[in-house]
Amino acid sequence: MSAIAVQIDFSDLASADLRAIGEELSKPAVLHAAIAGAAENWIKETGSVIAAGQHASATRLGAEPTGHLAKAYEQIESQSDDSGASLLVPRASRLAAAFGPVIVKPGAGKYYLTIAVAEDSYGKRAGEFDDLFFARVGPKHQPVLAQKTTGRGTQDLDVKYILVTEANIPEDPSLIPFEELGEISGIAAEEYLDALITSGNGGPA
Amino acid sequence: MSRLLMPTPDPNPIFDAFRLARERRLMPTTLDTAGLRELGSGVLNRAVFCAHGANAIFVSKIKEVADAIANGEMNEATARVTLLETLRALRYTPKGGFPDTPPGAVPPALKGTLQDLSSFRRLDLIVRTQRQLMQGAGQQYRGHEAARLAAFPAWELVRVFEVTAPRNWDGSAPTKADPRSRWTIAGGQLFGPGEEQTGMSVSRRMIALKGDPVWGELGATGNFSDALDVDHPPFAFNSGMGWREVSLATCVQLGVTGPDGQSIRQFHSGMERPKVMAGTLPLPTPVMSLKKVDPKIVKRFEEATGATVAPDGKATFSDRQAARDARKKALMDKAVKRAADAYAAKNGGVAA
Repeated sequence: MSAIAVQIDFSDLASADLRAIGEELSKPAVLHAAIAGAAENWIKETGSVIAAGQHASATRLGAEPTGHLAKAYEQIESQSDDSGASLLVPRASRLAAAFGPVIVKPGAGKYYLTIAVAEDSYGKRAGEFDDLFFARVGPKHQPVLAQKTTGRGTQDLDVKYILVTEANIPEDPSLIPFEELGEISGIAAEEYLDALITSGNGGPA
Repeated sequence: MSRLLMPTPDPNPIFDAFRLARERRLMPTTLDTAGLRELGSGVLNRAVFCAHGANAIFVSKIKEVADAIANGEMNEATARVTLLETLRALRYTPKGGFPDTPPGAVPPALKGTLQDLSSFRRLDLIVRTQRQLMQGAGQQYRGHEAARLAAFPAWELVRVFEVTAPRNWDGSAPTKADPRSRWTIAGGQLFGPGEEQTGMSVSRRMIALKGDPVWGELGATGNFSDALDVDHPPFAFNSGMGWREVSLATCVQLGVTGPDGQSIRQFHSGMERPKVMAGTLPLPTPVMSLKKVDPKIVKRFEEATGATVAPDGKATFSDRQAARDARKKALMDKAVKRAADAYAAKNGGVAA
């Protein structure tokens, strides 16, 4: 990571306004807060637009999008202190894939993951149905959870979930625009310095 | 030197929402939501409550899943099913409630309705509201830190999720139940030309300083029957509303003040710092020439920087904030396009 160090000295000849600005600049926590807040605002706004375009599964199933990605973006928090600014991203979300491939495995005591394949199961957990049963279907004996429907023979099954022992989510760095966040940080710093200068006297009017 | 650290190898990041969640207490109750409100906001703000959730184990589980969601470790669907499994283990039924509930304490509920604790709708409402309340409290806690207050003195109320029945927040969507702008009723002021937001165009911006009484009024049940008696998002059940921080530069540009016209500093510190110099010393407006440059390039330059290029080729950067906003928008467009392309490639060319 490259960095630029700037040394600013204010002599007795400097105006009181400049000295006041100098005092503000000597508090890195405020500059870092400006960067953190700007990055949080920007990633939430950008994320809501990204999420709005990612409903392929819901569209394919004819289901109402759950908005899980939009919720994940909205859960991002920024933090800052004297030493820097950071963003916290919720781990239990698809945003985890922005940092590398994710292998999802069943929780303790469970053998399968469920993947919704029906309109009414999308966005729900199998446990929210009380009439599902285990079955194997197709030439590969794919394990599924299904409901019984009226009728006979193979048409009796209304498959709600297919079951897998693990799921691989490939890395997707486009979910968190790292490069642009760096530029946003620069803009935020510029905006903060501008506001200091514009308001004069080293602080808000 | 400032750095933007990308998360998060830290195995235990503490979200502020989680920190606040841990400070909340359990409150098993047989009161309905209206009854809970009568207890007062002070109690509600510190309590994880669930109307008619009389069983202490169930309420304890709500707190547990709410903590996990607030810490980014559990999603809403898993939270719902965890609560449902708890209800099943406790032998809850919509008709009889919990086995240990005193007769008559909880009215019988129709299966699948909002009164049925085990219904999808009810569990979804519990989980969603708890998540939004903690997220809002966490955002407020973070935003009120001294450094953050100096850099971002105000909040803007924005729509963060679409809802089926939007309420009339800014006056642009009057309904029979909500004829007047909630923002105006709460004493808020509308600022500037609105910005187009995701899925919603607002005519004006709802901005107020952090700590302004307008936020408490907006979430007060005395003003709005669906409010949650909090001074932070979501303010009301299923509101879909949230906050964005407003920078000092934007506040100065829009002329945001305290409720009685105080300056930002006066409002936030309660005292005015004396001015050392009278008047201001405006910096000269920078000018550059784009004479004989391809008009297409000039147009792109204007869009990207917010500069105005006169017929003689002189470019004037009269509004630095507008130029910065344009740069942010261009970066957003770039990031969104890259994400859309990646998504389309993954789904065999289908964008959505």
